[in-house]
Amino acid sequence: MAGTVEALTSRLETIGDLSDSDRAALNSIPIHISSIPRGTEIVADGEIATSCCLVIEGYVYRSKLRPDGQRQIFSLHPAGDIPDLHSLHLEKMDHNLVAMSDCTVGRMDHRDVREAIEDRPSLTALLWRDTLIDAAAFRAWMLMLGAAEALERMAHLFCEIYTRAMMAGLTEGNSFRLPLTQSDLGDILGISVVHANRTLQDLRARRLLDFDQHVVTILQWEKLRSLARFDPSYLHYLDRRAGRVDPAKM
Amino acid sequence: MPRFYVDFSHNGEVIHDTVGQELDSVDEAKREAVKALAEISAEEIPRDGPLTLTATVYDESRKVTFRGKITFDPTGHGFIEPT
Repeated sequence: MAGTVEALTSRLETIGDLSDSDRAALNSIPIHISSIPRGTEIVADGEIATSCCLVIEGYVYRSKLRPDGQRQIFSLHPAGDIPDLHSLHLEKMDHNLVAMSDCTVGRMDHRDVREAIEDRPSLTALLWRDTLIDAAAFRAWMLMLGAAEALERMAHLFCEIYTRAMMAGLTEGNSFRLPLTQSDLGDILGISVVHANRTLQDLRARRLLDFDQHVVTILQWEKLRSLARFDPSYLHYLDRRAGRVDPAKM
Repeated sequence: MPRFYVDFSHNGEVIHDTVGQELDSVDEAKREAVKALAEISAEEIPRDGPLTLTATVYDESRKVTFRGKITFDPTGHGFIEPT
């Protein structure tokens, strides 16, 4: 169904070259679309995956529960991401895929994805590049976990999400919808929800951003980026301005 | 879920929580405030100098349900003794 995977082809075009025939191959993959309510576990930790899940609308996150019941959120994913693309090769899930907001997702059977990329080395390479960028983002995050304080790490998180949202066509000027709760924020940064709340209020008091009713508005991009020491190289966008120039000005 | 407010003070300077956070219970509010106090101390103590950090938890009716205090009291190398 042409256009159904537009979020995916748009995403891939920001990180590599997509030929017309590769695009057609992606458009031909059967996709089962469904509406997923907020909080639903789309794929479970330990599940043997047989499909990949494209985010078409909304946000999903990857997470894992620790033995003490504490949740760790690994990453957030806007429209265009396939957070479980790796399941094509690593069938057993080692984390949960959960709807952070009400979402529209499209499931593609592994069998159909494999068929689409067979004999298409350029498309295979592009999808491989997407998963490699995912891994680079994790490394950037680990660096933050070890070295930076909560204020810098939260600033970095907002810089990254703002950049990725803009590149996914989800921003309006310097604003975008982000259905993220205080509890989610704490579990992404690995800090107490009270600390997350205080840190967010600190960012707002410094007039760097506003976050109200699930809408983020970036007020001072240069200062926020400087505080976060945000270097978008790890996102590997072809457009070198992405994450450097204020996304609202691109 | 009930909303709780946690004010922090840093060497006497108070930062008021005007937003609050929804937490399951008075117990959970205490646990999260204590965790926050420990995390913030870990960031602030290495900045050098004496430090007193407090966290005060209020419920929706502004009643204090918990208060915690951490004091870092450095003496010796690099620190001037108070006269």
